[in-house]
Amino acid sequence: MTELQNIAKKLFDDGSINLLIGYSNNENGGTSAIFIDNSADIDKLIYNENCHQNLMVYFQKPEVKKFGKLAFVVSLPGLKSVLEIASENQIKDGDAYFIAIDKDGNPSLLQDFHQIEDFITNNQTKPPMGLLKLMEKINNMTREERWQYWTDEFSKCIKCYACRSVCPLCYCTQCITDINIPQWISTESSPIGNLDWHIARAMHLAGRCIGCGECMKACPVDIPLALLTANLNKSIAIHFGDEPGMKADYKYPLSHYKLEDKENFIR
Amino acid sequence: MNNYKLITKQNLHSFFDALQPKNTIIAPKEINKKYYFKPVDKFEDIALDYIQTVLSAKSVLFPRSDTLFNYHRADGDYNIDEPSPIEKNTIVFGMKPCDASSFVYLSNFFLKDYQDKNIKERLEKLYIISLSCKEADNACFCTSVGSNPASTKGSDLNLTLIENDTYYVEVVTEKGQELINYSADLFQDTKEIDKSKYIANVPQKFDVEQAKQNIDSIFESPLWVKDSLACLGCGICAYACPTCTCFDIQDIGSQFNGSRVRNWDSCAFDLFTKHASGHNPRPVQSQRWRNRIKHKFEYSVENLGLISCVGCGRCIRSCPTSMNIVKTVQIFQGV
Repeated sequence: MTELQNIAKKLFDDGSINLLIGYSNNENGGTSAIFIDNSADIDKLIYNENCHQNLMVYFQKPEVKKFGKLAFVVSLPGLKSVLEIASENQIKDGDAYFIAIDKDGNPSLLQDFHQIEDFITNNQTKPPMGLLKLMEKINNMTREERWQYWTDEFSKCIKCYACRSVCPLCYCTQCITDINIPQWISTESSPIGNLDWHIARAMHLAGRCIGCGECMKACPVDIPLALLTANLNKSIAIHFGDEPGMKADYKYPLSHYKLEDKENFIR
Repeated sequence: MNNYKLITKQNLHSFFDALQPKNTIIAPKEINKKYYFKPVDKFEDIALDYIQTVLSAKSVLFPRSDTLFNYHRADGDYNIDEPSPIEKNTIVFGMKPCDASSFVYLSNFFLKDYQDKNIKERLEKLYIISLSCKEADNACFCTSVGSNPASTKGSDLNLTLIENDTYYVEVVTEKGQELINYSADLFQDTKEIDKSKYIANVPQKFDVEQAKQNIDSIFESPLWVKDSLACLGCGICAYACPTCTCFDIQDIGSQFNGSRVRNWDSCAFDLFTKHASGHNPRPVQSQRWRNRIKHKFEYSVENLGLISCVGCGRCIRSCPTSMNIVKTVQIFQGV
């Protein structure tokens, strides 16, 4: 039994949890989420560098919540999602257990948000170089070139909404795309219809995105979606000096004010 | 009709050049190590040794957004114009036999009772040249749904690479012969051959007749929930699928000017079954996943006498959470 499996088994044995969401090998040679509801299946639990899905996306799924007490296997991006979700009052300390995987692949059980905050501080990684280079390239374009770049990228979009579905921060029980009276977001896949959606998505995640990049990995037509939110985060950090996913009591700049804010219209 | 010919790879290039000026040619193209159907005007741009494209070729017939008519209000009355759905004859060059067979289902769906005008006109101008599979991957399961990697179902011409850069050509329909006539001297007559040794080995993963029976008989089962816990309700599976035909009709514009458009829709979405009252008969994902599976193997059999799955494996490859239709069918096989 691996160390990860030992931790999981103990949680089941002492009755702490009803469902554990982790990773296992799948039929196609990859890895995918596994939902373990009794300790007999624990031998299927694995972790390796292919386990990228951000499992925190399941924390609001009604059929998952029904099981009762949950435990999640989470690496750095997953843990950042936990803190961001916590700062938005969607999860309370003690609601779930987190088996954290550090940068060397070692598991440890984290039980409260303070432990998660410390873990994140000690396990920081840099964003992938390729992504930074592309961001720099786009930011160096003229406004017209940049508009053309994104228009071309969005024209590929088929509006399958996988970018929304895989995002742990897109947890609204009713997404703006699910409202059709009125039809806020056109269901059409056209340059304008696609722009509607991608602006709405990026703006709803501005300063909240923790950068797991799952939207980009899920996209069937390879739109570099994570860049939009990463760039918005950068602007927010410049203007307000804040970064999401680092603290459970994070005050989201776009929904809080500070007396020292440079804008004075709210005073 | 069926007659058999041979063509060399070099001559296939010339054949493409003969077809190209008068037709729109759609073919698989490599973009960042993935394959997509795109309009091509050079033979060199076509990927001939791909396993599967990310998205199917159904958009040739049933585009992501299809304008049914435009309206314009003037002098107290509405003027309606219906744009032509297709200009030139369109050839899909090099789609896989599973995809070609999906067009049999699509034409049944769109033309059986009500004859959909746009689809009918496109179908009349559509030519399919399929390419038998040399290779398959774990997600392929055509042999489990009554097909095989060299099936000619739905094709006008079927090509199978045999040896020495030579393709074995089956002329399946009159339309196929029409294509050959563009440059008949590039082809050499031959006898029927056994293609099986030249094609990919795709192991059978379930028995389709058994699957139909099992899925038909099970509506309420905790297995639907257990099997779909990972599903997050995006529309990739339906949008990548060559036989998913659900759509949503919308008026885009104002009351004076605009278009009525038919857009793809997916049963995985919450809004798909939501009533005007606000009630949703399929409020959770397991019920939507059940609908998808039952539609493929039960409802479409009831409606059209055909299952609506061709075993292309796209839903399996593209699912961000590795939902697997084969696994689901196998689970119910074991019930």
